[in-house]
Amino acid sequence: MYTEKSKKLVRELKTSKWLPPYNNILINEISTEITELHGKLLQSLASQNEALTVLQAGCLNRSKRSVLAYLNFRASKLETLRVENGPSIPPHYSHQLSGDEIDYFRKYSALLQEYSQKVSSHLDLTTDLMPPKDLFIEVRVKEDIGDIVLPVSGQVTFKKNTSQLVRREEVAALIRQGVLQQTN
Amino acid sequence: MENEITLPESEFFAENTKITIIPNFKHAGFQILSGFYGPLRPSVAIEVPLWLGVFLKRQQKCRIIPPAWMDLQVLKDKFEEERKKEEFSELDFYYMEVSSLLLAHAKEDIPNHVLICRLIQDLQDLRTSKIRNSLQKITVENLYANFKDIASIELQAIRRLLPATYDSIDYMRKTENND
Amino acid sequence: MIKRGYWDIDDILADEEPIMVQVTKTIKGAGFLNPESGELDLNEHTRFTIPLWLAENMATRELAKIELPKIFGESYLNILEADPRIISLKDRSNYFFEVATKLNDFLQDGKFITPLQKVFVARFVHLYNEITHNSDPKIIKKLTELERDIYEKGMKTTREFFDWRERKFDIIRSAQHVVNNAKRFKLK
Repeated sequence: MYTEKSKKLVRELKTSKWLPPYNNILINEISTEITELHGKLLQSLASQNEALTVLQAGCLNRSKRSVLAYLNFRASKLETLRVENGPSIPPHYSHQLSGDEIDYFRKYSALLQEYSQKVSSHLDLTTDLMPPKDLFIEVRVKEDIGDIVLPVSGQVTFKKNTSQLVRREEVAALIRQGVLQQTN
Repeated sequence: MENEITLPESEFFAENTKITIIPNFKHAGFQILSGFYGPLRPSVAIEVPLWLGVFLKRQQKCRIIPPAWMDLQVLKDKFEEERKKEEFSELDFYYMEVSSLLLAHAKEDIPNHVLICRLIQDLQDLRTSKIRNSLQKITVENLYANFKDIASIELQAIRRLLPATYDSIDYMRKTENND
Repeated sequence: MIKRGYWDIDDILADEEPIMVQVTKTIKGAGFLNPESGELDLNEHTRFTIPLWLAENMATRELAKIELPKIFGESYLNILEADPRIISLKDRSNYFFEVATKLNDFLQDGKFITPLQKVFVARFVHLYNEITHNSDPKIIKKLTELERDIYEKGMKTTREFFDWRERKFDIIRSAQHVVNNAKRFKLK
């Protein structure tokens, strides 16, 4: 039955917490199927077999919908990732993406930054939305990232397993990426 | 990405409500987004936003006057009223958030703070059980639950759930009338 | 929440529900819809199972007749109404409510929409109790996709409330799933 493969494709989306690996092979197979089906549809049309044409068109549109929804679902997960996690893709996620999807992420990221700049050069649109209680917070350094230049505090050194007092808004991104951990 | 108001956010809104403080220092005043608050003079009471009051309190620069409803007798009476009625009694919309903040940062300024803390908790438990009772009574013929005078904290408890549930029922109903 | 729409994944998956149909008009060349028969054509009176979206397609054009699945039939609904809380609706169908609604859309037989709503409301009330008291996580196994969504929203709310009570919420969370998945990846 022509739509078995597209059903399988959509079902895959439910099998992983974030995204399953991009199934390039299956998508290509579905494409081939669609083209083949389309050829047959033209034949049925020519032979005036109304019912058959309608059914073939139904299968074709169903497969098309499945693939499009699959791609769209993945694209919106990427957008959410960018907003929540910052401009880099965590390595264990990039394995799940196709080259085109990584490209999409980069372009979306650039677009977001451009927009953010236009709205305000002081405001990061993707910052953590939790209302802060304090200006300064204490953090524990989880990874050795050495010296970082922060916009207000200037140069700061972050050595693994040390604790420091830092300005909250400057390190929000680092905390979300897991580099620093907030302690109370 | 959440589109709903979270508890920390509702606390943020609660922090905009006004509170009376008695500063122990002199200051020209604070020009902030919501207006100008000042000048501050030692031992002279002044009304400021809650967040500012808590901020100053944490630096030990003032004393906080608890709001009128945060009084032991007032709360005891409220609790009795709450127990007798099936519906909610009138309470400050942010009663939980405001009291939570004040009890965390300014308990020495609140007479009977231990008893008040417990009373407010009991009050909240009582009101929450009213929500449960209301919800247990909903049927297809009578889908409405009465939440008049509900407070922010109780709203939070049902904020994510109810719209999703009612939308689903609505979806099912739309087809019922399709003839 | 039930969302309908071209792009919604759950809507697509709900449409895959197997439905028994009986063909009412022979269609030449359509045997591919019923691969088990091995025939080239789809013959009148053939009874077989197809996905819901196809069944709707065929029924609209009077090419086939839909048979109401047993799980939406009167006797099953009576069992459900008797005690809606215990039954595992997920076993019947992961998209029980959506499928029932779509079929009603189609068959326009009002008979099962009202009991369906009753079942949903009763299960919701039971769910609410589970959410607000310490619940047995095994309950998830009995819930359809829709109910699970509501259950998870509820649990999230409860968790958030306890965090808030202990004033633990000012901590910026690292996008949790990113960190968790990173750990799993490193362990490999």
